[in-house]
Amino acid sequence: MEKEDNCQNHEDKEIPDCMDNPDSMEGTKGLLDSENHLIIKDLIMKNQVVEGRDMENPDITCSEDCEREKESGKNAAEIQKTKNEIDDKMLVAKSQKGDRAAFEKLVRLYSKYVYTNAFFILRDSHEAEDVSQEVFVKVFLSIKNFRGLSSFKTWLRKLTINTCIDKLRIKSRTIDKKISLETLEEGYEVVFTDLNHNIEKNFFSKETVKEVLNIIVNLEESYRVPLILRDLQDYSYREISNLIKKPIGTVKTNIHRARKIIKDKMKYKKEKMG
Amino acid sequence: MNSLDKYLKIAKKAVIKPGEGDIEEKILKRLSNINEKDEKLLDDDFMDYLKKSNSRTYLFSEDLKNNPKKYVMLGIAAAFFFGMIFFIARNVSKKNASKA
Repeated sequence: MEKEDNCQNHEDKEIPDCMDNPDSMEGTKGLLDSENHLIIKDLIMKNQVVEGRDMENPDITCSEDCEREKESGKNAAEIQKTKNEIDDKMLVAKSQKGDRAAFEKLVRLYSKYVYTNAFFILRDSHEAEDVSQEVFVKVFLSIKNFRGLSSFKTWLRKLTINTCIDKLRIKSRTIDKKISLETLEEGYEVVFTDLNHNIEKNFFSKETVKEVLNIIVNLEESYRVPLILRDLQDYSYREISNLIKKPIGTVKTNIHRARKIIKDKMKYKKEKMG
Repeated sequence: MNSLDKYLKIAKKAVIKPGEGDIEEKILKRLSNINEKDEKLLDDDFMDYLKKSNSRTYLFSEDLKNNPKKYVMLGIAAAFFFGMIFFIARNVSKKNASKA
């Protein structure tokens, strides 16, 4: 009965095939560990979430109602994260069965995420675009073999980072280092996703974060890459060391220096302003 | 947590808007033109990554190497728990023996 009600409420949404024929969920059931009833309920929710998941929400101001809704900021973010992971599992499962529309949804959800990671490491919009395309082609060709032991987002992120590091290695062999040290003009637009509005209220300054990102993008490669991997991608020192083939000590020193450079530059800017 | 850490935490949620054109459409266009040559992209490095990401043993060993403290604490907690059980069981059996 509940199922029928949900169908009626969401008849305008794109309801998966399983809603018409629950038997078609057989394969998905094997991939997900929830009960059939829950899966169907989830699916309805998920379709809304996937459609509504905003990967670039430039609107950082929030109405009072919205703020009230987001009072329990951390919990809401965690719930959202879990929902997103379930969405991804569903989309991956469908893509593995050859559903092109599901894969397109994955592309739409993660294209900017992949592009951003590539851009921060490579600091070149064209190369970042190439890497984004390459990563999705790799994912498309190999998604059937993805077992889902880690989340899709983690898998995609690591694949992007690996591809970027390979590109950097090739680049460092061929291009004069002086070119890569040129200051990058602020020719890119930064937008924020999943903002915690409580944090925003207390200390968030969009402009400051943009400034920090701009300083990071303009750091020398030996500082920039380890810092991004550590502070923006949550890699361990050991992982970074393996990835960029430098001793852990060097990685730690470079990250420490990079942070110091950012702090000094921020301090200098503050003094200059006020 | 110092202010830089706070800003870096927020920066994790930042997304760059591609300058020219729509990146999604470019990727989708590229995907619609996949041919046999693209199979070359799945090189040894990629296959190695795929193999590792599909291996529970590898992922567990990586997690262990990346978070050794977590597993040491877990080990200590487990040892303490089983020690307690052993201690209680020994006391109970001693009491039963003395009653008998």
